[in-house]
Amino acid sequence: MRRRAHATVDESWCGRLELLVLQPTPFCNLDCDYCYLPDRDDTRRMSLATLEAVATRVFQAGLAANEVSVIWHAGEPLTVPREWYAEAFALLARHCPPGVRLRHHVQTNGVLLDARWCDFITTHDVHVGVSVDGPAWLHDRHRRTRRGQGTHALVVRGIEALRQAGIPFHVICVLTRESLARPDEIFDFFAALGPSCLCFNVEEVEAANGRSSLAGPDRALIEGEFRAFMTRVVERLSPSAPPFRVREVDHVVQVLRDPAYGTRRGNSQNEPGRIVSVAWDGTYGTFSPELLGITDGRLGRLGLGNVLVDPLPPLLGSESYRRQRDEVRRGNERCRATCKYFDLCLGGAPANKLGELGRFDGTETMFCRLTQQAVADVVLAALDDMGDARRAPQAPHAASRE
Amino acid sequence: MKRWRRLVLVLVTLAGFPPFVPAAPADAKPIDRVAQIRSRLLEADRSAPAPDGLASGRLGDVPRHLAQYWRNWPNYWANWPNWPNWPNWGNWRNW
Repeated sequence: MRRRAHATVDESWCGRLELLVLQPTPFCNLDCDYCYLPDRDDTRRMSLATLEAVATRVFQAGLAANEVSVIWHAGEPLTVPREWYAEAFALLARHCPPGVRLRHHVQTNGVLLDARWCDFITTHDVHVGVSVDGPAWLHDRHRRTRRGQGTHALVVRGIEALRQAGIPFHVICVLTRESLARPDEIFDFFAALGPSCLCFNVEEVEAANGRSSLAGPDRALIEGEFRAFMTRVVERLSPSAPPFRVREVDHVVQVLRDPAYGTRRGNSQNEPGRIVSVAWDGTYGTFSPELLGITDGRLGRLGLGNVLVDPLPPLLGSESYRRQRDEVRRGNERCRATCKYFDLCLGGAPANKLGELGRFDGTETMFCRLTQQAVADVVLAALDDMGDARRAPQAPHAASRE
Repeated sequence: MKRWRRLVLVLVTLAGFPPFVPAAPADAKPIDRVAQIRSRLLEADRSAPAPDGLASGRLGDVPRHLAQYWRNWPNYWANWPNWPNWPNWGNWRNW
């Protein structure tokens, strides 16, 4: 019986895959100082044979949920030719079963965006995210070329190409310590830029990035600055006509609106099989995509196998998979037992736990204090104030319980 | 047989009885008032026009709501009195 369990793949992965992160190349044409990706100067590219193996394994095993987002990332995706993507998209479409909808996304630094890429993006209905950190003085401090030159002007030119082609885009803005003092300047910059959604990432300690300007001995001060920043952003979001959506605010409101609020036990990053990340050479993993290509001193290589030779999903008896899965699960259970924000964040991100605490079974990190707890406090306080302002007379239940 | 029916009725009634949610102190942090804040958010959603018509409160929607409730009743009671996509049962004028 035990032997059979060891030779069986983990079938709990079936029908759960929501996010397939594919690394067309590890290469990036920039050298941002906070980047978590290793091997950014490696120009090798995923072969179509490897991609075919991914498609075969994922779709034949029935891993896909009804809708799967394919994100081309973990390197600069636009350094790979459009012809390669045309073949790759066709290959995935060939293997995709009728009941599954694929949506392609690229997360780019925007430097190579031009009219030809915009044509391609429009033709193939690709969703675009661009990484911009705000005004030039802020962006160019961190997002530079290998020669140390700023990239802001190139990125704004790329975004202008998107706008001229009428392509909606979201932006990811990495917040560093110096960003926190300038919420209005950053908000105004993005309001003029015109993204559909603004996503704030914090400078994280994870994978190849071992330090952050937001981690340090003056923790309370930094958290206060971060809360003040987010409070100001939420104040600027006029409920009637916001210039863009803010992912962090949307997330809290969506979680509160979820009918299953309070009953969920994990999120897509800490439940195995909901995210699958595949490196250019076919190495695959699950949990946080940032774990792709990482070797940990204690857990060893975090890849669970290679799609060219190993089963996907992994074998239940796989030592590497079992150790990761059990440790992530323990961390989740500890979060649930100890943190009152659990119902909002559902256990956090394994990559940040490993990066900051050295273990998956830890609990609170700088990442979750800022992006989950502080954001939740700010958004809940704003909702509370809105409720006070428009306490509805037709809401007898809510009023009577206060 | 009737006895069984009565027992089932009692159990269903007890299982579905709305849980008591103690009010948080006024000076609590927002996260300590999350249940109340969520209540008000859902109440506001419910009073807004629903694009799919589910929360319309029309009598003709009742079978659909009952089917939805039947599939998902523990979550509905866990979130009482904020039942998303549920008509405003308290407002009888909608019926």
